[in-house]
Amino acid sequence: MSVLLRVENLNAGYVQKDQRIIAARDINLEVAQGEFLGLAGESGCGKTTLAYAITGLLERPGEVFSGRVEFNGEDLLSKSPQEMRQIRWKEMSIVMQASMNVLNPVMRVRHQFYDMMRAHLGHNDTQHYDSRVLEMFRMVGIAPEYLDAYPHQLSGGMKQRVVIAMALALRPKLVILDEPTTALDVVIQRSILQQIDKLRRELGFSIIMITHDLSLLVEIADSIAVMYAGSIVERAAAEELYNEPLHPYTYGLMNSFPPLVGRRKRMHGIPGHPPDLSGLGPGCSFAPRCPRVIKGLCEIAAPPLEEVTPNRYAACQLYRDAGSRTTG
Amino acid sequence: MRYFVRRIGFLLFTAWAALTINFILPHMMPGNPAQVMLAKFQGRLSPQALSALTEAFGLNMDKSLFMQYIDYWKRIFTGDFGISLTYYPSRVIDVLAESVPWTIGLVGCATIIAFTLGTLLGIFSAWRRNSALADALVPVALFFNSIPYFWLSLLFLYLFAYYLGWFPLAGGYNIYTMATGFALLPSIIHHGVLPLSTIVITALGGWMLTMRNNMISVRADDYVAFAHAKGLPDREIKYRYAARNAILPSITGFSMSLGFVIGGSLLTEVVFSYPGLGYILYQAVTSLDYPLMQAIFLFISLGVLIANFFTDMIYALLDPRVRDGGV
Repeated sequence: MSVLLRVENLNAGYVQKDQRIIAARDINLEVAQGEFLGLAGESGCGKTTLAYAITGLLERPGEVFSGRVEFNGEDLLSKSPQEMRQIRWKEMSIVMQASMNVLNPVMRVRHQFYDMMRAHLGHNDTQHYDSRVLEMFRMVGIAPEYLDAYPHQLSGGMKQRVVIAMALALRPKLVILDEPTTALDVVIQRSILQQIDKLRRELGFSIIMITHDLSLLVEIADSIAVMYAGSIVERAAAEELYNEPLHPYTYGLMNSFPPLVGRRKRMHGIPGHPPDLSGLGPGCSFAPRCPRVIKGLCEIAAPPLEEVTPNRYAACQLYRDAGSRTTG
Repeated sequence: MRYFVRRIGFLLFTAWAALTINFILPHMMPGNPAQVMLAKFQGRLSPQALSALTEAFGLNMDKSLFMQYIDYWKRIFTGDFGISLTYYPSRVIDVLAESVPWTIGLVGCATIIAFTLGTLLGIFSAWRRNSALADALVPVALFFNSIPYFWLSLLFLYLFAYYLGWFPLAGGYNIYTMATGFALLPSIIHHGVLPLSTIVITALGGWMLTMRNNMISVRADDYVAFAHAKGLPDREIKYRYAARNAILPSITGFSMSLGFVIGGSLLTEVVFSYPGLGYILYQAVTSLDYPLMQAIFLFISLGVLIANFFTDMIYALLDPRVRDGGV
């Protein structure tokens, strides 16, 4: 499968009083066509910053400091805001964290589809719009009469599905879902995710799904990247990650959520809190919370993300020797 | 529809309450307008004339309060508000009919211009936040907003009318011309520029700051961020998403001030001797002209109530959530 999105050494974050706070550090990612990539991590670990940096939505004080984002063979960071506007939604769409509130409260749903289509399709053929919107409504399971509803007349789950329908309406190549279902109850959550996944198989677009719920990703994603304190600490195929988490943080995360299938397990969680991104030391940022910390090494040297076994990446001193052997 | 009926009902009820209070208040005040009138004419009125006046003013103390109340309502519906003391022997209704158009013309125009201009500036200033010009507008707006409007009127009158002589010193139109109708318009505009601009300048800042604040908070709302994500043109986001939602609270303030248009900008009209309702009210108060005062207060309260009613209607038109009775 060909690579759709390639992120290389991306550094993005926020400028505060001339000080740079890097919220996404040295990010390297690849998303293949049709792939479902899960991006997991605790709140405040830079997942959303990364998503916004990729889509060019990072606004002041947010900024992309360095690195490269290649999408569909094009360098996105060198594009003008105007060009990004064209790409956004037509080629890549994003379902935002607060999708309960992303619809304009004073506009009918129909017109919120129309303005987006008018901006990207360059014509004003409302009949064509309607047929496309209704097709999307069918896909996400919303009755056509809600086309003329105002957002407040829809339930939370319906709003969510309207937004997802919007994200798919122009058949983008990449859909970024930023905690798309956090505000919903578990039953609706599952049905929406299953619908999205079904659509992905039918339409062949790629998905990056951002969530703190690793157990959910393990079930539906192809591959998973785990972020901690702005860096990707582990990257692997979903199944491998589930079977054998390498990084101690991933291990901790896996044990923080009850598995949806299988035997009952005792929950552990991770003691402590994620560090403040503005005051990171030279060592591994997880070291203070790590149960397998190597004293005298982890606090001093931050390990890079390296291939541990073929197609399995981890940023941890525990695997450094193995890593240099396979790559070197 | 239910919303509409409810609002109509509310309007009728508040109008009834306001008019009743308007009836009770003068009766609780000491003195009798007819006696004031008598004093004014210093004994040149016979007792017969006095009782005729009392009758004309509708202050016949022989009738029970309830009967007076009935009479009061009768007079409201027939437009008979008695005879003015100040403009004796003109009927109050005629005095009002002459002055109301001036006030509505002057203060109405000024309010609409100030609101439109201020809101547009507020949109600009919020959207271009952090740029030098947009941020400089804030202290400037605060400055003009803090200037007392009558003081600015005096200043303008001295500078532009007296010292430079660009504009007339007083009045609403050139009284020495034979022109009528539309031929009078240039003269009316010439007389209106100064009072209008003082009201606009002092009111503008408030509208701007309100809109700017609303707009800045709406800008941070999720649907504006989502509109950016959808790749909409900046202009469309600015007006159809941000400003469209930010203007809702301003609309309330705007219709409220439209209601107070009837009351006029009293001091402006006094300074410029503008023949509007504010000036008349001032005259009425200084000469204890109760019938005139009562009628003016009545029109002011009705103006506010009707403006409130239209606010509700406009709000329902602009915000679907209100229409559904949700908010």
